[in-house]
Amino acid sequence: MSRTAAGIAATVLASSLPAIAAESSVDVRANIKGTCVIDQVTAVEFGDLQQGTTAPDRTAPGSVRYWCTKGLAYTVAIGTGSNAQGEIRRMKGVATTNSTEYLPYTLTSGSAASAVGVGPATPVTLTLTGAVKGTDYNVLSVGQLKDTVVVTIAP
Amino acid sequence: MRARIGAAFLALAFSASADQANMSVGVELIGICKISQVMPVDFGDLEQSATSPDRTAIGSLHFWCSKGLRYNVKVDDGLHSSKGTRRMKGHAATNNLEFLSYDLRPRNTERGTGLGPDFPEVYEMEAEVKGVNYDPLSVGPLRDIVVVTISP
Repeated sequence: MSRTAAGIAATVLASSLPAIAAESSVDVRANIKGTCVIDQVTAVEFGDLQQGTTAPDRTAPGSVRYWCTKGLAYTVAIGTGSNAQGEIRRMKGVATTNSTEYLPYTLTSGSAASAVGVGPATPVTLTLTGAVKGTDYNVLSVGQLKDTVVVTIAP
Repeated sequence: MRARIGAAFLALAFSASADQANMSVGVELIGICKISQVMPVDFGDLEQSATSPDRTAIGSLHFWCSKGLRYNVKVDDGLHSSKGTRRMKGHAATNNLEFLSYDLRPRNTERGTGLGPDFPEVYEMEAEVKGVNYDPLSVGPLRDIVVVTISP
């Protein structure tokens, strides 16, 4: 057998050797996390309240803009604030002239307390309306009053 | 009588002769590749935001091939590919009509020569999803299955 012929024979032999492949499935996975994000808050600001013999009731708008992951069911909860007395929300005086005084107010929501998210591209605005009575602020001392309300958007 | 038997044995002993032959001993080592361990490509939780980042995840296979055996690694397009794009599919009630496209690329060479079972090798894959692709999706898990073949 010539060298070339022997080489060819060896090659043919090698290529005909049995060989077994390996195969396996690999999972590729992800999870779209359900989340709610508040991206903008507009405070309920009554501005200056001017006392008078017939001080009017006053309202002030506020809002919370948020979004929740598409398909995520969530609830909206509005706290009673830092100075509530029972279920009555109150602003508290923050100046030396009025630090022991409180001004009751109501806060109403223009949105449903629960819903299903539509994703970050479509934020939702929760509108809030604060209201104070003239008869309540007419008796107070000069100075600033404040409260902090926690709004929770929870899956 | 004894003398006769002794003579017979002697005759037998003298008539025995040796012989020898070549006997071949052969074996064929089968070329084989085996996958011993698989780590999934798991992106974990993808959290949406106003500027959702692109995310990567790495998966791997531990394998070995017979020493000297040349092999190629091939990864298919998965179960839900469309027009050459690999996609995970939602599998919850909230997202079972949704898909999330992803890229999958090898982190090391796709061909080599086996080193034998005592020297397992690792084949790593890096996958990437774009923030703009998972941002509009609904809450829930997504999944795909790709088949990796290591063939001699």
